[in-house]
Amino acid sequence: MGEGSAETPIKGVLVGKKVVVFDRERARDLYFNEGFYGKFYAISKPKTPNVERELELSLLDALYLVEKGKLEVEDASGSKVSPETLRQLGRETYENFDEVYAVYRDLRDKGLVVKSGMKFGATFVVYRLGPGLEHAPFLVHVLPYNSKLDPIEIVRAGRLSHSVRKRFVIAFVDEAGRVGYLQFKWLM
Amino acid sequence: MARAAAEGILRNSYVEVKDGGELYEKGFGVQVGEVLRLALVEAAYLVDKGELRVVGEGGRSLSFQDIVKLASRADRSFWQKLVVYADLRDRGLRAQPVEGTPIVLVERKFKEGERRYMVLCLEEGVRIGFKELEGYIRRALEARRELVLAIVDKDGNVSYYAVERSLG
Repeated sequence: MGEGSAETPIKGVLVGKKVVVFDRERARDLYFNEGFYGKFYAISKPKTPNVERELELSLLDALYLVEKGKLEVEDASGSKVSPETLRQLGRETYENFDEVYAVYRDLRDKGLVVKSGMKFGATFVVYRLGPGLEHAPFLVHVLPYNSKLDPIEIVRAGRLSHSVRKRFVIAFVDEAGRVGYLQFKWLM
Repeated sequence: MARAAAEGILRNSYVEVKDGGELYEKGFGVQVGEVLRLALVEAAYLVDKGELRVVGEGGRSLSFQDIVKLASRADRSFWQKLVVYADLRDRGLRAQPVEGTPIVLVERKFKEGERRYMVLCLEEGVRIGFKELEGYIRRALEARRELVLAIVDKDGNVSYYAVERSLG
């Protein structure tokens, strides 16, 4: 638990499809103490926790933090941005935003750190401790519940996890809204 | 050393063997009263290995080809299942097909003990829904087995992947 959780919500500014936290101190807190949210502007991997930079939040991060009462978002003109607006923007940005967000929220609610898994070819890379702090994070790839798996995707999942040495998990949201996670492991 | 092959009689969708004790010991078939009942997958495999001779009800001897054709008329995925079954057997595993399903049950012995798998045969290009997959996971769990997907590619090669729930 970050010590900032009882404080007034952090302010973020919606610029295009990102939310930027300009308060560098609160930004640092959000990243280092609250669960590695977002990414510092112009810094790819912060090595020490004395970063002095603005923090860029994805719509997933922003919506989650707003829902948790930790963040308030306004637009560039200073008008308040509702969670519904963030959600709507998300739907315009990602094909299956609602399912992706449901998985994101479920993982965050479990206390896990959820970051983009793009560079590994998955929706998310998920850490128990945080990026750079552990050896074997999970790759979580979100697929629509009704999409049906081609066995070749299972092979890809198994092979990928083997080559990047990360557990590969396929996530889906069933009709009841429950999030399911399946892990595939190559046997022989 | 060539042993005398066991002899079986083809009934509708299975093969009956009178003196099947030795086959039974190796995990083939199910004992039904006095006789050993072999699934057609097992019969085809054993005929090919020369460990079984199958005769039709008219007394005609059936070849591997005869059994494959016969079984494939009733079950279009017979060949896939046979390919997986034979692959498992040839790896030295005790495998048992479950009639009317794409499932093969497998026991694998390790130093630490035995592991029990429920192997589901899947074909490249044939999609499987999450709901269906969850159904198989539940079924495996109830049978106290680990679910394994046997994926047969376009050339007939088999890869095996264990599936389990994660991040629960």
